[in-house]
Amino acid sequence: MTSMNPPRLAAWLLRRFSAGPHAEAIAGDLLEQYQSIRSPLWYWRQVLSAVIADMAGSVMANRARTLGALVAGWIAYFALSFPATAVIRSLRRPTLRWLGGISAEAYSKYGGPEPTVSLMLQIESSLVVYVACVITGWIVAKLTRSSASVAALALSVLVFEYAMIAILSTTQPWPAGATFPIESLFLVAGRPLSVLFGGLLAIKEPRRSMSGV
Amino acid sequence: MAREFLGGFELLVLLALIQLGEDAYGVPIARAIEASSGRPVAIGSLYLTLKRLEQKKLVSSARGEPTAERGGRAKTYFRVTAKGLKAADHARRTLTTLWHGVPRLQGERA
Repeated sequence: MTSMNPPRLAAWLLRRFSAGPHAEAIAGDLLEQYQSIRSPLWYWRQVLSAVIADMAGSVMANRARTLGALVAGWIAYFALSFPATAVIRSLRRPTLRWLGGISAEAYSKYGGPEPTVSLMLQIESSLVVYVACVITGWIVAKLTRSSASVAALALSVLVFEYAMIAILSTTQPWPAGATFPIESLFLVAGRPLSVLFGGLLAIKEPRRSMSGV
Repeated sequence: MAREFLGGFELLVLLALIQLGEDAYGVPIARAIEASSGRPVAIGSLYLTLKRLEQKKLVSSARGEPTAERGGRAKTYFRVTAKGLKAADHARRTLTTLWHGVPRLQGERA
């Protein structure tokens, strides 16, 4: 029989985020079915639904642990926002100087730096925040030893940040000529992903009696 | 203790397990449900339901041997317990009684 390997990233996701008592059986069943179905899209769908089902089950079965993870995670998230803000402020001036500063023309037109310079500054501050998010995810994962708790925290960060964007964009007056902050939507998505990444760094891959993918 | 109602998918899983007997593990269970319902089954949801049935003591599981076609991963075999058989029978009787009270469905042939 010729065997065909399923998509590597999907197989890795399943290994890292499926931690229930039947995780090995699920991985084996999917691989067995993949040999006849041979559709990467089918495999991806199955893996995502398995991971979500496993995490939802874990969150529901350990509500107190999840609540504790959310509280600890949000305390760390807010506590780390202070040093992150200080770092962002200290980097702003040298970065602006490096990028050529704010021209008088740009100031009169945009009320600040040119859009490309603004975007660069936004990316820089986002990178600093991502580091804080990685640390937050790492702390929560070390405390709970649960990928599901870290995922619940990441989801809450995602909901909170997008809610903030929605509230700010509807309640604050828009600067003249400004467009919807598409770049903010993309940059904010990096925060929950960084929380998840921090969790992955803290929780070692489960060792199972399996070979191959 | 009050008897718990079985969910729709729980009942399908339980009936597939009864039908399959000794060879009931994830893949054949999913195939049996897909063949009877005509709808695709997500393995993750299936195992979530099996876990719930195990917690209700309606199903028991045992680890099988790892096989090469599964990349060295072991199967988990499931069996319906005596309590599970009773629950399935109770669901059958409940549904039969309710169906008797339902007037002929519109468009159904005599």
